[in-house]
Amino acid sequence: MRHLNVLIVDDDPMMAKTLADILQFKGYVSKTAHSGQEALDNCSRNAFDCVISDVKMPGMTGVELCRRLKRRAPEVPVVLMTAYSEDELVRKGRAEGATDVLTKPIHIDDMLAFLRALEESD
Amino acid sequence: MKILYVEDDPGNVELTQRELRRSAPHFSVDVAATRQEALDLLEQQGEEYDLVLTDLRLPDGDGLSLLKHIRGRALPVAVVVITGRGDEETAVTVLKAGANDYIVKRDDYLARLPLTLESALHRYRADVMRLARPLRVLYAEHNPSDIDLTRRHLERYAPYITLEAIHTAPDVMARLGSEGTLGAYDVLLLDYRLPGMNALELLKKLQQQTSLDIPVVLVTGQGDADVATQALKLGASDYITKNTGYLYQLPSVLENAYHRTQLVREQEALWESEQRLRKIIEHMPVLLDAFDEKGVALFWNSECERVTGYTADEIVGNPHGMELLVPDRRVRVDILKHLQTLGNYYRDWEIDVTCKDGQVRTIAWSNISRDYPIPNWQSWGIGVDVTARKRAEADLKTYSAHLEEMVRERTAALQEAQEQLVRQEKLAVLGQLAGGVGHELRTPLATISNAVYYLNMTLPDAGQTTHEYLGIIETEVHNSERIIAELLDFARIDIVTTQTIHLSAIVEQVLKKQALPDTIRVTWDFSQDLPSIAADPRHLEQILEDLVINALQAMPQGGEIRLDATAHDGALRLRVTDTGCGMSPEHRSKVFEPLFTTKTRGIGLGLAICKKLVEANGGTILVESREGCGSTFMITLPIKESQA
Repeated sequence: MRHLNVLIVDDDPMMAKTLADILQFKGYVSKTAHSGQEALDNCSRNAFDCVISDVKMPGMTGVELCRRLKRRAPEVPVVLMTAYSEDELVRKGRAEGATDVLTKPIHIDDMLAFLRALEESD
Repeated sequence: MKILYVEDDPGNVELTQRELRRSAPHFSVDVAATRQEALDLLEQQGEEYDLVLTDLRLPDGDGLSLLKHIRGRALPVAVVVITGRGDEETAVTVLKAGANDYIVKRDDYLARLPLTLESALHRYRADVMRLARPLRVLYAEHNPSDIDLTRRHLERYAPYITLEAIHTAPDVMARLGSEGTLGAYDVLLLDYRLPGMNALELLKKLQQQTSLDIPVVLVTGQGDADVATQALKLGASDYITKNTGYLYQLPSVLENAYHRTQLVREQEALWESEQRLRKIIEHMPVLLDAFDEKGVALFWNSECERVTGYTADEIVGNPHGMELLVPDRRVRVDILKHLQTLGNYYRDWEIDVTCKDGQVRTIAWSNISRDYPIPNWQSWGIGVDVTARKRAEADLKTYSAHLEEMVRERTAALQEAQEQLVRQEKLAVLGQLAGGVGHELRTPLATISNAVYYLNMTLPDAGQTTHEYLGIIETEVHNSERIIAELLDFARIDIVTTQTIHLSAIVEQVLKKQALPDTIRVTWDFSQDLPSIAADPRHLEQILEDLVINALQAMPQGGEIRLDATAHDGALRLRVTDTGCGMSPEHRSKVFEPLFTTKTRGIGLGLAICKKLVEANGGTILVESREGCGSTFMITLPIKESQA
């Protein structure tokens, strides 16, 4: 089984860390970024198999990040996370190519299941 | 009367003064002993004296010269001369010289003195007046010597009479016929024998053709008594017979004729004026009445009649008149009492008067007869009918009160609306706040959740207690999330996206989602032909979820949840019944209120949200419950239209 490279983007460092640690424990290679810009920089240096990003961040939003990522590497799935569960956001996210928009608190098991599916599909 | 008494004999002075003081105390007497003294006094205070009483014989001259001086200087005083016995000739001389009277010093002349003096003064004043206004006579006489004689006599003896002569009857007609000259003469002196026509014919003609209102004095010849009588019948004022010395009578005849006509004229004018005033008082559009001291009406004008309906006949002289107008005895007594305090001086005192037809009218009475008494009327006053005005005032008051009432109501309503608006705004702000807080709380909760997950993941061998406690943390995070979700749901301004939905589909979904313990049995039974409803599917899901969760919470030991739905009156009725502990009536009345909860956790928004959602979709929600038996929630939702 390949180790997937996952990038976790969240302006809340604890949030990013806990998610990254969980994924790490599960065998994924996870990196964190704390802003949209940092994420983009990271992506240009490394190749990621999946990007999980918070939506509400200062500066670039997750939706904007998603758009940009999709322009560069359309095949890399982007999953958005948000505390705000407005449909509008889901719609916008999907419009920019996000695979899914999850509401915080995230169901970790769901996320793991998704990643497993991604692994198997490759 | 102020008198200047010129007498040198002190004894006479004394006697005269004593007499006058006794019988004519209103005379004031100054005394001069000599002519010169008298003259001096007249010089200084001539204006003050009304009359000069002088003895003929004075030390430095005589009364006559004093008289002549007075008349010569036209001093405005009457003069009475005291003559001695046997002095008749002097008397005439004195009169001719312009004295107003003389008194002979004999017998009890002093007793006659006051009267003589008064009449002398009176005559003097009359003369003065006469001289001021001359009498203009038109003399129709053909004989020039007659004219001449008459003229000369008048010049001498009655200079205030001016004479203009014409000679024929046609002349008379011409002179008096034209309007302009009619007013130029005061008397027409007509000689009987005028060429042209005789006086009687002339008189007749004058009467017919002109409005002859100047008096005519006919001069007749001797033995013409018949003519005279006829002339009088034809409207002549008087006649004078041409006998010896008739000229001496002429002035007074002319004067009398004139004055008589004047009198008639004045009387006519007076009568006209009286008529006018009478008419005004009778008919003016203001009530006017008068009463005697017993309160019986003496006068009741036509406006009184018109307004009250009672005629003057019914009220004037009627001792019960007041009772007719103010039937209530107590009111009458009050009025009389008040009248006594006011006296005959008040304005706009409003009294209600009962008219003949039973109507009550308000009259504003004013009575100022205290200051303007009228003889024979104890009191009199005027009244104005202010009934209409009072009615208008009352209407205005009612309307104004009503208006005030309306304003009050509107203000209250507005206030309430404002309060509601403020409440809603507050709620809106709170909602926003809640929304913000809620959302923000989710991230830390998420982090905690992740951390717990991690720990659980990485410490499989940790002790039971550790796992237990991790479990506790997880549960509490979950509960916190639930609370936040409730809060956010309540705060959110829901947009209802109505769709056509089948209730059964939703119910299925909800039941599937809920983790139903084994101790709970769910029976639901919807007919196949249940109509679709128009509602927001997400909302409906949430509503049902809330109700199911509520039911579950009511049956911790297990029980049955029953759902049934029927169509009824254009609406769909869904019932969710549980066999749980039920609610007390008090509990039931508050169950849909936000923040009301009987549970130890949760902020009690679940059912409040449920209600809000139901109502947002056009439905209603009610609950029935019996303690110990269970509760039934009933929702009605509108059926989608355009269904058969």
